Order: sequence, then structure tokens, then C-alpha cells
Amino acid sequence: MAGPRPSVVEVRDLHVDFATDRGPVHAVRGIDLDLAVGQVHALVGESGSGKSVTGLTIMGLTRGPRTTVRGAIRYGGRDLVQADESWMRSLRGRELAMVFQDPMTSLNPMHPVGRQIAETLQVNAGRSRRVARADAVELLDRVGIREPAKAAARYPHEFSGGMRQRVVIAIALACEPAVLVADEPTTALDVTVQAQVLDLMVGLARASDTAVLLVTHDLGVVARYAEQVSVMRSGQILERGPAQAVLGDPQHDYTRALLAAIPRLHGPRRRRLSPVATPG
Amino acid sequence: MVTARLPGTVADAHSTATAAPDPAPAPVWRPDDEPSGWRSWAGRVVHHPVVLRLAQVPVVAFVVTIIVFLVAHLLPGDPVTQLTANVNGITPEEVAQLTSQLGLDAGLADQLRSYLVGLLHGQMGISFYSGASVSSMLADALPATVELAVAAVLLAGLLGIVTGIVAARTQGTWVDHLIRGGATIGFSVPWFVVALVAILVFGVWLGWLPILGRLPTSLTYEPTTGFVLVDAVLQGRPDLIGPWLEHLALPALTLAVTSAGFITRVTRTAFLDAQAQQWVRTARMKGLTESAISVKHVLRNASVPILTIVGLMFGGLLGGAVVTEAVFSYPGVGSLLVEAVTRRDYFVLQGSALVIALMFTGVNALVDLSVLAVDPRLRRG
Ligand SMILES: Nc1ncnc2c1ncn2[C@@H]1O[C@H](COP(=O)(O)OP(=O)(O)OP(=O)(O)O)[C@@H](O)[C@H]1O
Ligand SMILES: [Mg+2]
Repeated sequence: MAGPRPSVVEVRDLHVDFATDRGPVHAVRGIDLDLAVGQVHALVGESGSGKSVTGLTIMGLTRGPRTTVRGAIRYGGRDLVQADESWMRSLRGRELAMVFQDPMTSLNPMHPVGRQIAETLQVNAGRSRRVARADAVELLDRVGIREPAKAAARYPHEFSGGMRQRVVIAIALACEPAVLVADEPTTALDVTVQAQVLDLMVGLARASDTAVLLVTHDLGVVARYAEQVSVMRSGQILERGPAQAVLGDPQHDYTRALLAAIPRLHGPRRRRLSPVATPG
Repeated sequence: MVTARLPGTVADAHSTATAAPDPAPAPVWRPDDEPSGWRSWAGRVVHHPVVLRLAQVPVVAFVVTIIVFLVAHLLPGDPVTQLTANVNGITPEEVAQLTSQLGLDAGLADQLRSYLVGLLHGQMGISFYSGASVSSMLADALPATVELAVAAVLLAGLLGIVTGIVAARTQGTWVDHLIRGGATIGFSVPWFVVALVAILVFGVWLGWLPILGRLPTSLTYEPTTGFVLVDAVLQGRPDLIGPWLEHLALPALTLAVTSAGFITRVTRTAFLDAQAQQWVRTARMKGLTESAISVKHVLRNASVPILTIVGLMFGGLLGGAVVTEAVFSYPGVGSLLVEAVTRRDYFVLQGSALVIALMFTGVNALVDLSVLAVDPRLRRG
């Protein structure tokens, strides 16, 4: 699956500033980023380095009276930085999708999960309510939720964190977007389910040729899933390149420090987490 | 479409998922967690939040009955003095005879006992003045009060919720400030000031609206259900509706204006709280418009505090209705109660207080139940 593939998103010299009561925050300071069809581009870096802001800005979700965005985000022959809000809205859910860090709070507690998946199909794929509900059940099945027809009628609080994140993944991938931003999608999950959820998400994304921007702290995750990696610090990208190259021979001290913080990386990486034994 | 393009990794993903479920499943109810048999079934029914909530209504009614009985009888002054106030040269013997006729010579405990026994048989006593049975007086007055309270709650709810949402959606702008200022004034001005101003302006100066009663005396009206709107339909009397609404307008508006401000504030806060939640971002991620997010997602989440406050308001409104009815000579339970208090008409007083208390607890139970219906997280008690 490696090899050069066309870019779907080209970020060029992107700056994001927030005006706050305590003065301006320069969260992103001139970064370039390319997301290729069907590939995973990992974005790593310490806390506060601007990873989430980068992802949210690609989605058009940092816009607001206190935000200034400069530079370009080229997608589908247009610049998303300049695109008006209604255009961005028409892309979101359909062509651009996102999975957030905390699955405990990213679903509406008042609506059954099936309805929350169906909603995106109704809005973005023009499905009737009935068809969308049926497709939602099928999507639940796809993301590995057992008894999907029953599960569709349940509410978020009836699911564990891992299962909720599967629901969010179903919402994000329902319309087979061209771009998926996954902002630390498994950080809030129990370690034993992190690998399953990532396997699922990346597998589904690759199957639909979705370009993935995978924000993570975990260089083990980079080694396992990403083709490309960019290392970010204080709003800038310090080092970039094919994941194998960057992890194998880091050029920057900061990257080396990040690598050193994860000793297990140098052991055999392609281990599978042994499943917790459950009969049936 | 989804089906066609995803199959590659699906089987893989699915098998990992089914092989290893998450280690920390949420506390979901499973049939085999529960002991079987009718005992456990009965236990579940008894402990079901709906049943628990409804069971409180008769308890409250009982306690209210006792308290009102005691308060009525321990108030200084008694019915006999009131009845004979304008009669000259009444002898102590006649007073004693009247007292025993009214059943007031028995001990307090005996009177309470016979009142409670009567209640159990559906008898609420009679008025010392008119001799009419309290239940028939209440049957006439209750529909009027329900009409007033419902009209006031609908008006207050509509006004409060709409302005609250507008304030939240325009947070920080002059619109928001204007609405919040208006709301504060609304709930800090005493209702009787509003009532008097309304009477003066709309009733006296402008002469737009009637200020007394429920229907003009020129209209003949034979109640079937006692609810004018229902009767207008049942009896084919559309001519009743206009005058009825005109008479309802001032008392209902008076009550609504004084309660809407509070609903505005609660709605605004609840709406802003809900809007700050993470799942709103998920809804944006789906490409929903801001108004769709407000209506379908945020409002639903904000509705629990809003419903609760509207319910509480209803209780407050009943209290307000008691005096508002008196001010507007509106023939409801409140007017009955006020008159009965001044005359020490014990049975009427007790009956109307009991009905008001029952409405209050009944509405609160309804609100709690609708909160259960709205919020799935609360359903399993
Ligand atoms: N809406 C905002 N207003 C003001 N400042 C913000 C806003 N969002 C983010 N920031 C600031 O921008 C910087 C980058 O934040 P960001 O969330 O992108 O970091 P991150 O790399 O995702 O960190 P983490 O790993 O902790 O998630 C931080 O200093 C943060 O405080
Ligand atoms: Mg982040």
C-alpha cells in the first residue's frame, strides 16, 4: 500500500492565531502538510504543540470571531481557508470527517446511537429517514458492534468507551469521506481496546480510500499505522517524512527525545494485543 | 453505497471486536443479572421511578389535609362569630345551638376524624354560608383556575423559552443584554404591581379588556364540563370564545409576565451549558446547520432544567393565582379560598386548599415523569 499516491489535502504555510483575554496565542505558525489518498499521515508532538488546532482548522471548526487563519488548505481545487462557512458545512460529514479524543462526551446523550449515525446519512447522503436508519444498523455491524439492530436503539451511556468510539467512527466514516481527521482517537480508551479501535478505524478508512490525519502521542501507533509522519512543536513542523525513515533515523533532537520516551518501540512492533478471553 | 465500498477490512475488524469486548462495559441491565420470580418483578415495579413518584401524591395530599385542617381551626376567630357578626341581640344559647348545628362543639380530634372519614367517602362538607356542597363549589371553580393556570404557564413558557434561546444564541450582544435586563425586571416586580398597572392601563385607561369575572353577565352559559373552550365546542357556542379570551387575558398575562423572566434566565443558562458540550462539535462535524444543532440537539439537552423550572413555576403560579383571582374577581378556586379564609368557612377553606395542593403535587409529578421521558440516563432508577 506504500508508494506515491496523489494528495487530497495540501496545507501550505498555515497560521492559526487566537485572540484571548490574555493576548494573542499563535497556535499554528506556518506549517505544510500533505494528506494522500488512502494513507495515514501521523501528526506527533508534545501537548500544546498545535496538533488539535491543525486538525480542527482543516475541518473548518476553529472559525470564529477570535480566530485568524492564514495560509492555504487546498482541497478539491479550492482553498478551504477562503471558503465560506456554508461551503465548509456542505463538505463536513460528507467529504471531511473527524473523530475526537473523548468518546464519553462526543455523542449526544439524549439520542439513540442509531439515530445519531442516521442523521449524517440523511443530511449528507440524502437518505430518507427509514433508509438511513437501516444503513445505520449496518454501519454499527461494520464497526463491530454486536446485535446492531438492538444497539441502534440504545443510548450512549449504555455503551463502554471503546464501543462509543466505534459509534463515532461509524458516524465519521458513514459517508466515506475523502479526509478523516482522527485526534487522538484512542487516548481516552483502555489500553486493551486501543489497538482494536485503531485497527478498525484505519482499516475502514483505507478501504474507502480516505486520507487520514492521525494525531497521536504514541510513536508505536505511528510505526504501526502511518505512511508519513510530521513532528510538531510550538506550532511548527520540525521534521517530516516517511514514518519508517523518521522513526528509524530521526534527524532532530526533539524527535529523538520523543523516541527515547518510548523504549518499547525498539522491540518487535508488530505484536498483536492478545484478546481478553471471552467465550462465544 | 456504504455496502458496496467497505467490505475489505470489515470481516477483520468485526472478528477482533467480537473476540475481545471492551473490558469495562457500562452498567447495562441484562436479564440474567436479575433474580427471577414475581418477587423480583414486584420489587422492580415498586422501585420503578414512575411508581415511586406517583406514590408520593396521596402522601402529600394526606399531610396537606391535616395541616390545613389544623391551621384553619387554630386560626383566631370562628365561623359562628363571623356568621352572627351582623345579628343584633343574639343570646349565648343561640350561639351554642348554632355551634352544635355546625358540628363545631365536638373536640378537634373528633372533627378531624369525621372530616377524614367523609373525605374517604368523597364528601368534602358544605359551606356554612350557602349550604352548597364544597365538591359542587369546587367543580364550578376548578375549571376556571385550571384555565387560568394553563393559559399563564403556556404564555410564560412560550415567552420565557423563546427569549431564553434568543438570548443564548446572541450571547454577549445588545439583544442578549436587553432580554436579560427585561427578564430581571420581570421577576423582580411584584405581581400585584403588574396586576394593578394592567388593570389601570388596559382596563381603565384604554378600556380594551374587561377586568372582572370570567364571562360577561350578559352571556348565558350553562357549563357542561366547566371548561369554556370545551363547552364552546360541545355546545356549538363559538360566541363564548371571544369574551372568554378577553376575560382571561389580563389575569393570565399578569401571572405570565411575572414568571417568564425566571424561565428566560434558566433557559438561557441551560442552552449555553448544552451548547458548550463536546457533542455539539460532533454535530458540527456532521455538517448540520447551527439552527438544526440548536433545535435537534441543544434544546433537547437543555429541556430538563427548563421543564423542571416550568413545573416549579406552575406551583408558584397557583399561589399567585389565588390572589390574582381575587384581584380580578375571577371565579376560581383561589377566590373561593380567599373568601373562605376571611369567613372561616372551614370546609370550603380545607377543600380548596386541598385541591390546590393536589394540583401542585400532581403537576410536579407530571414534570418529574416527563423529565424521565426526556432524559434516557435517568430512566433506570
Ligand atoms: N480556542 C482556542 N482559543 C485560544 N487558544 C487555544 C484555543 N485552542 C487551542 N488553543 C491553544 O493553542 C495551543 C495548541 O493547542 P492544541 O490543542 O492544538 O494542542 P495539542 O497539540 O492538540 O495538545 P494536546 O496533545 O494536549 O491535545 C495551546 O497553547 C492551546 O492553549
Ligand atoms: Mg489535542
